[in-house]
Amino acid sequence: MLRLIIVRLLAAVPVLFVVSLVSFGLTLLVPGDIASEMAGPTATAADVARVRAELGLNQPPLERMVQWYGGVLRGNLGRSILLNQSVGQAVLERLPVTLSLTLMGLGIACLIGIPAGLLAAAKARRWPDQVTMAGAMLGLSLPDFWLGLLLIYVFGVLLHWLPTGGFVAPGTDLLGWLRSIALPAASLALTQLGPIARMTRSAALEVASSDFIRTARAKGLAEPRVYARHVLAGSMVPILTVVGIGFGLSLGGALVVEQVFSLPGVGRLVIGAVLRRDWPVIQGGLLLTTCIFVLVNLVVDLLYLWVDPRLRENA
Amino acid sequence: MRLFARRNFLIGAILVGLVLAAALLAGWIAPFDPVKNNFRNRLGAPDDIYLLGTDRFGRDVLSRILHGAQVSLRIGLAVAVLSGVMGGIIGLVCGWWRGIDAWLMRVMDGLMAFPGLLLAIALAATLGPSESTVMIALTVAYTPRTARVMRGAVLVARAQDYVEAARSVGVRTARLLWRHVVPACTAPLVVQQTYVFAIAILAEAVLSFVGVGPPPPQPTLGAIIADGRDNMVEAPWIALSPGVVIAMLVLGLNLLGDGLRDALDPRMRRIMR
Amino acid sequence: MLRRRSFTAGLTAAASLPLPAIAQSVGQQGRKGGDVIVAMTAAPPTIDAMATTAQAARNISMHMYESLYTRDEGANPQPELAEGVDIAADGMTYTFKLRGGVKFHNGKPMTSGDAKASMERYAKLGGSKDALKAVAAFETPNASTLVLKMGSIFPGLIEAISSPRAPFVIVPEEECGKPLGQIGNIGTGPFQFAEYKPDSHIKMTRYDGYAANKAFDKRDGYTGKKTPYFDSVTIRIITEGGARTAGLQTGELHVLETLDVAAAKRLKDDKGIKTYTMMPWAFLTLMMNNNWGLTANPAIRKAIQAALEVEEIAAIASDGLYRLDPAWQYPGTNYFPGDAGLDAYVKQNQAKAKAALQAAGYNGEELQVICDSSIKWHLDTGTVAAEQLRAAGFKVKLNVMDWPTVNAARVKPEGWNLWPLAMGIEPYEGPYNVVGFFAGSAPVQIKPDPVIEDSNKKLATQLKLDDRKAAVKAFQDRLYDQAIAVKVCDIGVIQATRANVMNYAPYRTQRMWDCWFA
Repeated sequence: MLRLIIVRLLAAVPVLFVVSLVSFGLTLLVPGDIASEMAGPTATAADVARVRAELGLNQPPLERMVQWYGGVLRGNLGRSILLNQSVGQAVLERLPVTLSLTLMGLGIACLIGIPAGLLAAAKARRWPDQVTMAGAMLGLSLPDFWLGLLLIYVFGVLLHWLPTGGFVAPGTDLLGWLRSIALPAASLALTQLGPIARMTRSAALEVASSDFIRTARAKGLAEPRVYARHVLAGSMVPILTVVGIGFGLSLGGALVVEQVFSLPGVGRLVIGAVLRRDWPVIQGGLLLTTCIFVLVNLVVDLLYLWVDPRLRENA
Repeated sequence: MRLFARRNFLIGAILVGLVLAAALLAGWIAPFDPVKNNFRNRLGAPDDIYLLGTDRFGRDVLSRILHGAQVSLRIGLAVAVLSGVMGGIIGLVCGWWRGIDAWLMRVMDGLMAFPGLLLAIALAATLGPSESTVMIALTVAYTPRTARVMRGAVLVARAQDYVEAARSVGVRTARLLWRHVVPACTAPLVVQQTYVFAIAILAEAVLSFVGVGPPPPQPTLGAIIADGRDNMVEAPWIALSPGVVIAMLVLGLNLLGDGLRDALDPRMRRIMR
Repeated sequence: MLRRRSFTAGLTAAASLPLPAIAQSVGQQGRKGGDVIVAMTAAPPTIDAMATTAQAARNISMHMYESLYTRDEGANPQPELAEGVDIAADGMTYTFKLRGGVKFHNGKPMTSGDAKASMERYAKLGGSKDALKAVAAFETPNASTLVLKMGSIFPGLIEAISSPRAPFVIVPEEECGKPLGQIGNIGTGPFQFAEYKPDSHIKMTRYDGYAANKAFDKRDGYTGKKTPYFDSVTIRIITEGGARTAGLQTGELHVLETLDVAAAKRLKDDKGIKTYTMMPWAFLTLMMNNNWGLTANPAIRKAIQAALEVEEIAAIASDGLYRLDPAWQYPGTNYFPGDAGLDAYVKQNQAKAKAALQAAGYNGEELQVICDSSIKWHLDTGTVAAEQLRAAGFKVKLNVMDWPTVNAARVKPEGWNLWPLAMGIEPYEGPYNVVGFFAGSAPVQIKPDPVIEDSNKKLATQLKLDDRKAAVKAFQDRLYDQAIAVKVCDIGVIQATRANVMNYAPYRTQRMWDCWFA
């Protein structure tokens, strides 16, 4: 197990290097710079040039690159020009928003998707199956940001049940946090529900036809119980796989949903940095986001081992 | 199972066919010029002249959706084909020549570790928004996934007895790949690219929504939603209807993909993951 | 020898922006308490007040900081941290007497040392630092006096340093050595900094040690006798227009920087909401590159002007909240050059445009319109103008890019022809940054124009108001005569509050002093 972790972490190093090269390349190619953003919309060319000099943006790219890599090796991702804050701090501050949104969305998707998938498998090819699968397919095909707009309209504007945007930290107000994150998480969940329900169904169908389930049935266990315990347990590995992939996708989706609901998460940080040329954030933010992706994938892989001991020997 | 698969395929084909036909015929069936402004008829509700209402510029939403679907389909198709070709080649190379595999797949992993959308947004912002920029950005973002699928398929094909046999009798590599390996991998590749097609259409909508899609007044489905989002309450028809079209299209493509997958080879699921 | 004179009396006789009548509810008593939540539309690039001309930064900084001089309700310069100014008869010495008893948020009394250091920092990195170009030295004869020794005459000094464009704020001397964007958030304003969560919100709390200006009896523009009532002001950054409107309706938000015009129409009968129209708010313009390609030719520029139906652009870009106004200063202000005879220029005339195009030997070359997608006014103007120009027979390429790309492109001498721009704060300030935008080392139209250069110089050096007005008139005539740029219209905005926000009055930014919850 430890070996696996070490191997995977080492393998991540070249990945991160590629990522950093790509993000550095981006900042070199991008036309325009942050000085014009900083100076404001009607600043003259001279004003912008002055701000640029003031911010030390006139260094040649190679010099900047050497400096930046030097910093990264010492664990310093640089400093955001717009936020007057270190990039590491900026990302870590926003990470809880994005992560809680992602986890909440994925959690809802699992809570609904797995039972729905089991139900569909139990009633395979009858109407509950077809209805759930059609619903799952539809959810998977909806644009999540569009769903977000729709939810704001229905639950925020028409019904006044939930806030239409903004984030409340769970530390200040737990209920407020739940309310602030409910709609964005729901729009994420609806799009992630589909794959989870579908995978649960097909895995459950496979398991349900296996010998040990037949044995369980022969012992006289009631059908719902068979599904809830044995079939589910047997289907865990493929479900986990799809949840693991879903985590990556949700994280991607969260980045966009944050825009719609004005949540101060990593997505808004990085997209905002791209649109305003805050290059330390683009580079550092992308690098750190990638690290998180790599780590999440590792955790998911470790979970497999935990769920399915048979795989351990191969590791 | 086959019947169900065929029904999926059929529904998918109908949905995609409908949108495709409407989009292709946009030039003839669209009642108005999609970029013609009319400030005296702004945010007009649907009526018998403007079936889906008008937007902030007084432009006919239905005509914009028809033309926008064309653009979205064009982008989706281009991304599916381009990433299919690039990913296909990369996957073939990686699957066959194991020495290159370690290196090239690392790069692909690097690209894949980026959230695809974020990468596409960054790229599109960098290259300057245009239709081809969006195509390039999404191709770069989704090629690694295709390469991975293709590589898996090549590995499976490579282990087949007849390929082994052909190798041992000294068939030239190029011929071997072209005659035996590529055909065996086409099915999973086509299925995967159907999904990429669907994902690309969703992703285009996101790019347009964030503001790095094809520039206005060019309608795309995502851009129409973005145009209407500030007036969700006063003029919900602007943002709602293109979303429905996207959903139809993506649902149709996903169903097509599933149908194809089940019809071509039920065992393919293992590779597709 | 110094001759005392009241600045406002001497320089700006009866300037008044045609602002909506402000109901200064007399007899109503303010009530302390509450956290008011304001929504603004964009994130500030920095909250270092001096450094940026961005509106989002002003929304915040005008609560926390104050300047020697600022603007009143009619946009006239008025003292704020200064009691007044003595201007020497030769215009070469400005002596500011500072108000006593003013303390920074950290408890330190404000002195002339702070004012001097702040001005010197501004001269280094301020957003309108050209205003201090003519100043040779800052002197502090005593703790409550700041003297500006001029190197050359500049009668616009007080107008310039009183502008909130990138405000000339006074901060503690200790902060003045800090680089751009890294300053501590300490001022003398009615609210003090509490926390800033980028992309989410900024929170300020009431400064109970605030020393109100006793020279006034009520709030007046950015100056006057200001009283903070709310316990705190939270300014949230909400980029989605729909979410802002929804938040106001549900009461999650109390004050909106702008309310979408269509939404305002829908909500006009909503008893829970009060709306305030600000007209004029900004110039909507189309800048032209007089140096490159088609637009280097004045005949083509005139054809462009004739091809545009400004009312359509205005109606779409402003959502119907506009005023057709060809002048390059607002009617009713000091420097208003008049608009007689300009009607003909702004009337659309497609036939004339086509004829002019033919006469100019138009060969089908593409007009390059550059336009950003972040500001709706710009995007809509670019989109509609491009369509109209196509209809008149031009080949047009509309290049929509993000803001930094556009801004990098539009300063280039080549590669673009038309660039839509809404100028908000500059016309409010007066003529200096409007004329200045077309003059100097990097004029917006790229090719310097001798007449405008002359106007700009006269504006900066003529001691008599009438001479400066003549310079503005010459500038405007030249713009039309040579079709250097297109003025589309004046656009307005709608500010909105919940009905329980009492005594609110709209202004350039949301002023959260002197209003309270019912």
